Amino acid sequence: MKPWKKIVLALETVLVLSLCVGCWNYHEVENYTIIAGLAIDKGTGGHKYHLTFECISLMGGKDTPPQPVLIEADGDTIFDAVRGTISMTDKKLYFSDCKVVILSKEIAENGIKPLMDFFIRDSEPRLTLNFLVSDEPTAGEVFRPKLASQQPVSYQIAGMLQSQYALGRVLAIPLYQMYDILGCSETCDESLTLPNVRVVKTKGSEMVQTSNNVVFHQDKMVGTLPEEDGIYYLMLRNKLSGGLIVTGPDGGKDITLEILKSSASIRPEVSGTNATMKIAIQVNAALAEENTDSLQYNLANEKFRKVEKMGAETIEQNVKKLVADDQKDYGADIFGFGKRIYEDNYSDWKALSPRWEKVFPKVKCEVHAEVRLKNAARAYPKEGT
Amino acid sequence: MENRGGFGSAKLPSDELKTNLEYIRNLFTGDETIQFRHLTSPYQTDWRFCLVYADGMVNNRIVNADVIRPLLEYRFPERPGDPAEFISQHVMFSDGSEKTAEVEKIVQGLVYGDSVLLIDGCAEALVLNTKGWAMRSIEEPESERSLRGPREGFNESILTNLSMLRRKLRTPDLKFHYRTFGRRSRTKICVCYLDSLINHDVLTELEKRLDDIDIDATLDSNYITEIIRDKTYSPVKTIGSTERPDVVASKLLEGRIALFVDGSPTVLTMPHLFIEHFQADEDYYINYVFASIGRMLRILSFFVSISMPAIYVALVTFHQEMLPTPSLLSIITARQGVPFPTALETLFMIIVFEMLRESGARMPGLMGQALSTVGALVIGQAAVDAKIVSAPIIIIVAFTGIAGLMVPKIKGFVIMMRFLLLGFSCVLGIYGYLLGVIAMLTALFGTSSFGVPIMPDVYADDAQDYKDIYWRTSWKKMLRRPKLLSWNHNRQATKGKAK
Repeated sequence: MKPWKKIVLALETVLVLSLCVGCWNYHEVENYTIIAGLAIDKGTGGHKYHLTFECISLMGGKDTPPQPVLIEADGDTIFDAVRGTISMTDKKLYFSDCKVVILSKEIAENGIKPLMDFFIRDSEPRLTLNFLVSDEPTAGEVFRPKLASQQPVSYQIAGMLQSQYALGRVLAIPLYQMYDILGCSETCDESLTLPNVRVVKTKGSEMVQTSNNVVFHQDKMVGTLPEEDGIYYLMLRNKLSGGLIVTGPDGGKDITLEILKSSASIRPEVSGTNATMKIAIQVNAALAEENTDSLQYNLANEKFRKVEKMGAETIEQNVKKLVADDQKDYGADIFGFGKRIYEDNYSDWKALSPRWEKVFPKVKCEVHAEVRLKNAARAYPKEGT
Repeated sequence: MENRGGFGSAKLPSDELKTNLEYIRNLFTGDETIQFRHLTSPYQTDWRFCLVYADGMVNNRIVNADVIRPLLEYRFPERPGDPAEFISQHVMFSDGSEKTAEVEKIVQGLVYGDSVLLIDGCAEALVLNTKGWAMRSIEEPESERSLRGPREGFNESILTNLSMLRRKLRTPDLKFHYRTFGRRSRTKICVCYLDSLINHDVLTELEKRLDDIDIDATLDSNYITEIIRDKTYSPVKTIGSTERPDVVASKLLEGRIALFVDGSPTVLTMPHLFIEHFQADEDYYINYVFASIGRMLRILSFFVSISMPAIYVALVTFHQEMLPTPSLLSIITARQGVPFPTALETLFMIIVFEMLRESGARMPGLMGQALSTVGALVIGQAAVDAKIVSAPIIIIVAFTGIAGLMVPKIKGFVIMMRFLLLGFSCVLGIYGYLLGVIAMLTALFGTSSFGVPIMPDVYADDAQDYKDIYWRTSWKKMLRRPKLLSWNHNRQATKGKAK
């Protein structure tokens, strides 16, 4: 083959290939409106959904930080509402940098499965999206506050969820895990929790806060866990990597333990229609604060062991209370007990699963907690010197 | 007379000085640098000579002291049977003296700085070595500087260059073979190798290719390179070039063959592996750890230099989701108000950078400063402020450029690949980029230099084969020569096991 013929053939190949693949996908970044977050409310004017987009306006120039701008649209499906925005802005909305989706209570109570589909099916939104439930009357209100940092509210919320490892209060379940939990709920009846979000008004400024776990029965919201139970919920779900336990002698609250590591194992025991969950929790902690007049606990001190015991008792009590409350109030298996039975002994689960709704509230719980104090962050003189 | 560079076996026409002189004069009609010096011995006036030489090509001192002086001072006897032989043996002080009647030899000698002594009554002439023309002194080559190691570099004289090599490898194993190329330039070249080390297949192949050369002139070694290279249209270098004697010596020691071309300070070495682009001579003169770091950086910057603009365009125009949110935001902010699409903008800035580089390369020193001011200020600052290009592009292009300067030996290939990959990724995004890289690697792995694959990974099968590729191992551990380059693999005879 002559060299020029080879070149012509190569050029033709590239030309044909370029028509087949990806070429349509060339788009300039500045032709997109970047969405930081999205709020879903019940629709107005006969539409099913009312969407509030928190977008980032980048027209401010180099020196001003990106300003959040709100765009609202109604639609019968999520995508319908998304496309509806083009009549209001000249640019297409871009979902890849969307971090959070806020749901109104009403939407959450009606079931969230239908609206998850768009986010999973479409190629732009990430599967690491976080869903939250608004404490405010509407979900859109969450985006209204002007934050002191001038940051988009959505990014602030995303940042707070990421820093949960130091607080251990709410459990952020990203979209792909939500899909897993809801997707397999027919087999193991696991229930979902999502973090809540509310606007906090202090003197002169507004902030957003996420502090509670919202309980779903399957995909419908049924209630909220108390704020102080959050850490024990995370502990049970084995998702805790930080946080504080406040304990003290005789139910007092003057000693603070900082959790360094926590692991929980749940061992189900099934006999007939009764199930018992043996929960073993092991916590490594540090003595972080003694809010008392006299410092009495140190590593060389035998009283130190007492602190470990106190901590373990506090954990046991609270975990028991958390499970009991959930069984009584919501009957939602947010701890994945069903899944544990399913994993542990499939024949047991097969027998239990048709009645799991009724069995779960009666599941017995045996909690054994162990706290190990690793340090006290202080050097003490030896006893008696 | 059309002289196409050959007189065949023509001989001097007669034994009369006058006729022979006339003949030579005719050959060089219109060449006024040819000087004719008539001489007659004061003691025997029937000894008449004419010395012919090219002005400027000879060393006048040698001509005066070693040729003219003995001729005039020698007390000639009665004429012997062979006067040319007699003079060559008894009179001349010159070190080289060849008796010949062949016009070809006489003419070649004349134009190459030899003096030709015509003797009355003799049909043969003496070609005397009186070469001596002005020559550049031995300097450190501009393009291959190093902090440590020898500082000498080749100059334009083939004899000087060969002597520099000879001084490094003092063994009779070192062979030199002369050839002459160029119908008009009659350029001397020398094939040079260590006989016991080379792969003789490579030598045979080289000689076959050299035999096929039919060219007017070879003004630089690149004339030869382009004719004897493996693939005429391939952008990959398959013949190495260097101006440093130490580099040539080390390549010969690995079993390569060197080709010296008279008039060119650049010596060719072959076969040439792709990794040689990233090996610097200094790698072998400094601690091997630092040398290896430097070499890996060079390989990395090769990839950075060919990929950076392509990946940027692919990320910004196809795969925005791969950018972290803050950098996406800042790129969007920077792109506000820029009229051109990212692809065009990148292409434009790369071309501007290449222009700056190319103009800088051949710029007289004094103008260089103005150039860098214009380059830095106008392109860097003003273009961004005027919203003609966006700021990230400047960073990308600067990065690309710096990385490219780290591997000067492969400059042309880098520039070509940069544009090619950019083109691919403008059309197909990251798929296009990968397609381009795959095509590049396929081509590289399929290329060979004189029968030796240029990517050593093709045949490397144990650690010894990698000891001078991506990193340089300590000399203590480099037991073997590169495979395929040499038929004699043991570098350290007492330790290495032949394989």
